[in-house]
Amino acid sequence: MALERRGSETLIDRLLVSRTLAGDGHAADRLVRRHYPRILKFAQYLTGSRADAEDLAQQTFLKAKEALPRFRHDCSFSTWLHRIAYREFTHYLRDRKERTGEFPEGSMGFSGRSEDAVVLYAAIAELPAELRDAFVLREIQDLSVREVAVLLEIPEGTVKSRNHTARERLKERLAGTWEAMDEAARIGGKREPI
Amino acid sequence: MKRQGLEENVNRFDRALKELKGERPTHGMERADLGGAKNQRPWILAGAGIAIGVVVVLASIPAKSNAVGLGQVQDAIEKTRVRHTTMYQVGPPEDGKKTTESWGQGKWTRIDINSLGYHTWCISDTETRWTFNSAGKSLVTTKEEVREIAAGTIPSLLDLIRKQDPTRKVELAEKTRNGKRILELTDNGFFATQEGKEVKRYPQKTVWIANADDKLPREIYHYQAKHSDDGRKVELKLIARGVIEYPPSLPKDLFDHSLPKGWKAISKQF
Repeated sequence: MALERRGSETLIDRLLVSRTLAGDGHAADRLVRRHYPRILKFAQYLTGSRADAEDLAQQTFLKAKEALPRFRHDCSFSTWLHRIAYREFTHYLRDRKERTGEFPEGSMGFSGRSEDAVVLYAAIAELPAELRDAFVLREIQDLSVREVAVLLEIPEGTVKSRNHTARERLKERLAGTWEAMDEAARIGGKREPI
Repeated sequence: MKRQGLEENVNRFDRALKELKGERPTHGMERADLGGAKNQRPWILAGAGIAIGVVVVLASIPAKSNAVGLGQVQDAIEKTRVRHTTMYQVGPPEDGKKTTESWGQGKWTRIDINSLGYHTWCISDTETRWTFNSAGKSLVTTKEEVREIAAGTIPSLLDLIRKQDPTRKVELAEKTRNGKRILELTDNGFFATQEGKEVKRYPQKTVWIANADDKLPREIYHYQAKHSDDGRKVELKLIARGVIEYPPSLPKDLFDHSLPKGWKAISKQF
């Protein structure tokens, strides 16, 4: 089912890309609208800052526009955009010299998130960058192992092992946190969504 | 028992992960209401600058060979995201300060609100050129009339806009919101983008909300049309919301306008 969905999405993207290249402004508009939220979300996980994420997402689409005639459809349009976003992110890091994502709770532009999800989000933020990138791309952005491998320029086996390590670390870390949360809830009453 | 606990945690992990996977960044008021922005950005200042009748060239990027211009992609992005920022204002007129100062903290520069919309910097990273509203403190003294906006009340802003452009549709109304009296200033106008020689006009609206007692602006809502002024029906969409706060003091590095490393100012327009 997922493959079917991805297939139809790819077809739609192909059509929109070709129409965009032919000069159809509405197609360009639709392409941006289809992919902007996902790329913005990815950028937020990468940068940890809403403002920087918006800049990164914007820069990604501007670069994509410039590079669109060279897009050869050897991967999905979404993967291609993720690749550009990731490359732009490395430029952003180079400019910043260091990775200082703070992942401030509540200011990331998500609302209604459950407490468990907030805790998981915070734990993801604390993963080492190489584990975080693989985990976010694979598990949050839902890219295939192959796509992540291409994007991060690492072997597929490394993607799997990093993803596995990230999962194990997160579960290990969260077990203690959830235990403490449950204890606090028992004492303090019910939990509300954040 | 321990095994059961582990299984519960695994399920919990998967549920939380599924939630993160499925969520989308929120937009507009919902996001704005989450709290103050981590990095205050200059966008609302640009919006406010636009509101006082200044044409801001958003992207002066040379035309490319492709028929769909970068400007259109830019437009689409601009329409997709709703920005939120917080502005700060120091020294309300009641304090007797003539030199009221405000600022928005952006990624590249900090903007002195006194220069709102009156000049922009074009910045280039050698590949892409952008034009941002920006300011230098030395310019402030040459733009006294703008200072009125920073220091001014809603009625003084109304006078200023009318003075600058008597034909502009500006309305001031006293209303009640949540049991409190407010002043609402609505400014209907246009902004323009330019790509190569092509200039497009877009309808826009800026709404300033003030407390009816001190009349100082506290909120700004900026709306823009989905498409340029080409005869189609105008549908305005909220693209930015600003909250103006009045902290007691300014940070020392307020007027540090240094650009990021590798960037250079390629022109200034005053």
